[in-house]
Amino acid sequence: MSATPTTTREAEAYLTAVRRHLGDLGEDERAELLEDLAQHLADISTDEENAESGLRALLGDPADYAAELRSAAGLPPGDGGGPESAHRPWTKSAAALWQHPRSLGMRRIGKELAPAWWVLRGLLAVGLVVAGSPERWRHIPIPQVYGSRLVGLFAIGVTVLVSVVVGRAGYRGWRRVTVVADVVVVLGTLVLLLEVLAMGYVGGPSGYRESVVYSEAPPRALESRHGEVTNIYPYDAQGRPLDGVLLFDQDGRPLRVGRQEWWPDRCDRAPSHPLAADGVPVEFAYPYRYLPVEHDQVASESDRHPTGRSGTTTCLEEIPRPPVPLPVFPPSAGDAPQPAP
Amino acid sequence: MVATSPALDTSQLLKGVLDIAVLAVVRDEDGYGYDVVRRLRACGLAEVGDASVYGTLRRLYKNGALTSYVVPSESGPHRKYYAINRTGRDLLAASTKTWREFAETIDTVLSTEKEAA
Repeated sequence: MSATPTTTREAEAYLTAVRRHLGDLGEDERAELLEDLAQHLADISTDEENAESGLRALLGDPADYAAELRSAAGLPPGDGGGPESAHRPWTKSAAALWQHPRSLGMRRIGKELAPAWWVLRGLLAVGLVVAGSPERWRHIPIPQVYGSRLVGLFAIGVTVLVSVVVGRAGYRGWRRVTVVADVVVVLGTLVLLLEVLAMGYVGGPSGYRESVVYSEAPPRALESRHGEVTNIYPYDAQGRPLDGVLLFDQDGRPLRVGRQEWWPDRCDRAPSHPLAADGVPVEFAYPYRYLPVEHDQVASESDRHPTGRSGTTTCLEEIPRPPVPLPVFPPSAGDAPQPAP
Repeated sequence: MVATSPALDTSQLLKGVLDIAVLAVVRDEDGYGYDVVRRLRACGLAEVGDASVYGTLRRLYKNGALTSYVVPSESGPHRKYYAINRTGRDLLAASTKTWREFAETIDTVLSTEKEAA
């Protein structure tokens, strides 16, 4: 602590006035600044050049001095002076934190990463808009807006451009809007991610199949890599077609296939299952026999399948088996007994 | 010296570069507050305000670009001297480079404008 510098009345008054305008600062900070000022006032008074001028002429109004001092020292501007305002510790430490070199460094990094965020938020904005649609998998990687990838690409271009332009210009008035937009995009993306994770994967083994679980799950039809299976044609090792074959899976459960809805001849058909002794149709006996369906004569237009024809003489009863590439086995194998039809 | 009003262009410019001016002065020789003010004015920066210099010294010190020490004196008060350190030198070098590039850019803009006019 220095020895008390020579002070004059004027200097005292000046000091007090400046102290008033620094009232909201921390004790230590204020003390340091005032100590500097006291020293400065002493130095000024000893300088011959200043002998003629008063302190106010040399240094300006105490309020102005205090304001300029704060500004140069990186301190927040005061509230215009007045009696020492009540200390608000958290604003002061917030201000101190804000000025800390570390936080300055981090803000600098944030500024450098800003352009990447602008691009990303443009992409996410479009993504979120289409994310509401049920078939989400279609929108990876390029969202289909109104069913078109091209429109989606265009939409992305527009949003990214807008996002970058706004980001670069940093319009003062838009600041609140952009902050709100950023928050919405981030939250929306988080919600979307959580949803996707909770519901399982997007896309599946047999091409793109949505695995969204409904509250009443319809039974999963048998699928091969070519699509849904709606019939099975068994043959024995000699290439003889088999009928009434009962099939079970590895867990002993009956194997069920899907139901074919459409035929090339446009007829309506339904599978007809053999009946067991108790009268229950056996749905896992293969091959399925699809028989033409009889429609009522007075059925209205809406009851009929839109493109189907009723079971008239023009619909074939027996659908021929498709040609199959049967392998030829060596004679020793496959003398299996024929199953009873 | 009264700090000039913000309406004058040079005082606005000065606010931007006062940091490097102060660092450069202190780099040449350690100094205390009024000493730095006088040296800046002697260099030709007549408008620099005392408060600005003191505030800048304080801020540079807090940001670690300057160190300070007290010199005791029998005749007068103990003075607080400021000295430049490694961080300050680096900052000064980087800022000088930025300043030079900026000045060059503005010169280019001005000369282009002259041709256009």
